[in-house]
Amino acid sequence: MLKVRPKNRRRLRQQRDGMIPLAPETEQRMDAFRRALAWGDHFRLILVAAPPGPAREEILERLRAWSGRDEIPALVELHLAAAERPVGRIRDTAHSLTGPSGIVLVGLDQHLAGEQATPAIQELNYFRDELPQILPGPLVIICSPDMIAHLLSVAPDFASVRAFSIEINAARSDREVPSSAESDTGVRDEMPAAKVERLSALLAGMDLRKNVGSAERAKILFRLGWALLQSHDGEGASRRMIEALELFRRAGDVLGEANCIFGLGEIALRNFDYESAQAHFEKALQLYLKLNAVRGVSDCIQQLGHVALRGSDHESARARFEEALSLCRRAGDVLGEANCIQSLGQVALERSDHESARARFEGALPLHRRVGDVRGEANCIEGLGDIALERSDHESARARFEEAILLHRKVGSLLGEANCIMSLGKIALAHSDHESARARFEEALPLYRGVGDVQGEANCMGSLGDVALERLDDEFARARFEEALTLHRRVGDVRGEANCIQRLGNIALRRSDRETALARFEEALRLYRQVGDPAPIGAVEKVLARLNTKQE
Amino acid sequence: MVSKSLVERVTQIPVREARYVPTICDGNIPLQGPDHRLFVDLTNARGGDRIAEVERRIRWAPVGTYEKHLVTGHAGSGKSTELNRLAHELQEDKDGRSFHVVMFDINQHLDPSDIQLPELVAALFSALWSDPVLNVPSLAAAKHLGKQFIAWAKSLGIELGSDLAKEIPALGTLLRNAELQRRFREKAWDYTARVIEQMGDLIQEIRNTLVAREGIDDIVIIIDNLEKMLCREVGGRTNYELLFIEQLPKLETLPVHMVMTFPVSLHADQTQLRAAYANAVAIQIPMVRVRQRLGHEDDPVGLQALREFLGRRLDLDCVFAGQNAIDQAIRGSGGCVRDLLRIVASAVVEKGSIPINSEDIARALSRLAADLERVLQGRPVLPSLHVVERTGSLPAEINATDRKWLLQNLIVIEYNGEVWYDVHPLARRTRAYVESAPKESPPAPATA
Repeated sequence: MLKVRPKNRRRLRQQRDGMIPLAPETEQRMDAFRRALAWGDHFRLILVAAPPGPAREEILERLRAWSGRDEIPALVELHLAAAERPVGRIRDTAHSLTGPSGIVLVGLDQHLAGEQATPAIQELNYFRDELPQILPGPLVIICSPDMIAHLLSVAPDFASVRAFSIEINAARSDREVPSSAESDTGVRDEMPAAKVERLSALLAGMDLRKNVGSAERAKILFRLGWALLQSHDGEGASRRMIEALELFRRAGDVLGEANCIFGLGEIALRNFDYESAQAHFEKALQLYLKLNAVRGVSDCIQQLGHVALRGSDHESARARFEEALSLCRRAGDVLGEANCIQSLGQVALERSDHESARARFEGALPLHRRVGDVRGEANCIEGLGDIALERSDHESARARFEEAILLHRKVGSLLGEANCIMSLGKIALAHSDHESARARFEEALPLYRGVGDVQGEANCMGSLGDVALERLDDEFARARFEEALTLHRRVGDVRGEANCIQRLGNIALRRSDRETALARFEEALRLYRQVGDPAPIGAVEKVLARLNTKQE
Repeated sequence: MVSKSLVERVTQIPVREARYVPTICDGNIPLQGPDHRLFVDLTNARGGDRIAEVERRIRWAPVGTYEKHLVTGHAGSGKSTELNRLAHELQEDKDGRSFHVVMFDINQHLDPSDIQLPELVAALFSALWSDPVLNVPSLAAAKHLGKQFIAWAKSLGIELGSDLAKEIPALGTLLRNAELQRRFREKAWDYTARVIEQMGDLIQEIRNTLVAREGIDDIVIIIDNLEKMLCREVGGRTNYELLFIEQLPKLETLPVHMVMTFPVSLHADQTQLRAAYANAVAIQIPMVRVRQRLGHEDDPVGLQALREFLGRRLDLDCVFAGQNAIDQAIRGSGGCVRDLLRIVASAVVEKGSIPINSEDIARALSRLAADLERVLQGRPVLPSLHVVERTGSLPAEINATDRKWLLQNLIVIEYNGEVWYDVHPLARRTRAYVESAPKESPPAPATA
């Protein structure tokens, strides 16, 4: 059996959709915030000053991601209804909690009225003595900075027990990434399909209105383009992005233009059109540089790194990620830093430099956790699983993939889930557990199809062929490899193509069809030489030498 | 949920691991039970043991004379710990006298946002009724009063039965409802004077049976948490004036030793307090002096006391990189023990490891000061605070409202011995304070 290396798989760089970068000074205190939540099994008051809007949404997202993990207790989120007082709600909730838990309270701002304490705030002032008795964890109050000042001013007994306070500010954005949190209706956690529907309706509404500015329309088109991309509708996304691009250009909005070009690069990358992707990212990069938009620059450089990585140009990829890493660090962009380190891990893994890869993934992991990027965290754990799998440490690999699957499911990352299931299938196959392997590959297949990941589908099909090959079901295997071959060719995956052809050669050889086998192996050798992969080149050359010797 | 003591939450005392520093530095837990091993007597550094003075006055009071004490202190000054200590000491047999102490926490009986005398008396009755030692339900005066309270409650539509043993404790809980509390007050208001008189008779009866049955000399009622009531306007006056100045003095007639907490901001108005209370003595649990009144020289006694205080909880050699860091934290606290604990915990949480050095402490102080920035910005009183810092006195230009607010919010702190004031070191670090410093006059132009 041929060992399919994880590097033959495609893994898209994935982030939490719509993640909002926080100001560098806020990011710098995230570790301290996590410690304030994690250290202790006792009540502690944590005041979080976050103005309503993206910053508040982001910190809520992160708290949701941190809840119940890495020593942070499970956090129950309470949103006060209109005119609802906090004490009764906290008391009722605290009494219903079991085990170490904390409460995140939102909605206190409504009780900010004038200089005097309202009855709701007065109650809080008395409540502090009761809290340690009823709540065995943190009480995180998220409110406006003015409300914090008000609490300190009119409810000193309550505010004076605060164990930690932090001010959350969103970073000044220099590259618009549409997010659910920033949506015009304020809807959070909106599914991409729902977002597409809503934005489409918004656009249709605009068409009916007179005097709608082209800038306004361009922004909606751009956001719709992103939503379509998230819904795996590359064609629709491309059309909307191009429309938006035209409008931005006409309006002289260079930032909008750069954002659209970047978006078109993303679409090309997902469509395996690396040349086009590279051209778009380079063009966007120039515009971002002109605008001195650091985040845009760093994102473009990262994506250029991914393009290089896909083309197996490891040196260029490494240089790009190092460059972006340095930019992210200077800008205090923790998520960007995490992504760059993770990508450097991916480069190392591709080069089979397992030690460096492990160090990189382990370095990125806490950063992803710090910013609540569950998807990034899952990808790092998956990367560690890949290393273990390459080293044939199947037990560790299985544990890592199973851990990563749970995280991918938590954030609805179908592609990540599919990749991990595939890897578990490979482990089963390595142990000749054909039934489990087949079940895993069949489980992954619809997930890849669901997200339109042709290469994943091709790999899955090839793996089903591998199972059949091991069970000596040559007909079934040949059919799967033929299918996989078509898919690999469609996305220009030469290595995948070579792998399939080599396997078809193996089948022909097993059926003593020497001519076909020779032709297949020669074709595979040519393709392997094209991608410059020495290990299979050596293997195929040996087989060919043996076949030619026999002929003589 | 039964909350664990501080010492039960950590692996060892003194703490040597970063992750347990915030737990042991939780200044929100009054020391009692197993936590008493963390207690350090700070009385010398506070300028005298005011609580021991209260104890002595009660213990040495002539028979038939009942002491009334008003106790206050800044948030985090250790009031509850000191009141627990007072209760503990009074129950000890000293000089052949011991007392039964009823700890009456208003939080557990009333809606604290709006308390007035009628419901306070009813809740106090309910607390006495429920005390397991006093055996109040068996007393005739108690039954009479209990029926009266139940009748008033029933007339308000509150569904109560006629079994006093069950319904009086229930009434004590029902009054936590703000609306019921208010309606009960309206009903009971006209009868309050009579009820206080009857309460006096009841307390006499309680004492007689207690002395005979338990061999205890007398009872002391400690009313805690009244000081947390927030000041607000009620019909042209403040609720402080209404309760603490007009109504509570009526309890002076009760034949029982009483200790009540009151808001620290009222302590600055001694004239008003003295005029209102005929006999009650008002004391404040002061801050630990960490600097001399004039100049900014350290107070060695205060510094040493707080080093010992920290050392009881933390392994100072492990947690701090040196003596400078410890002293810097102490100076930054202004002698407020809760703030000192918060400064240390905050520095450790921010750094994520120990030992912490002077820079870590400085960062923690800056962060804590930042919390006060929005509170202080734009306050007209700011320039006057520089006078407080320079002289140790409250200048006349700070009006009564501002004075109360500054004390209540720990912007200005009070020290004992000779009574003097200082601006809290955290407030002194704010931009609002620094920028409000009086400008020095430009030097006179040089003459030829």
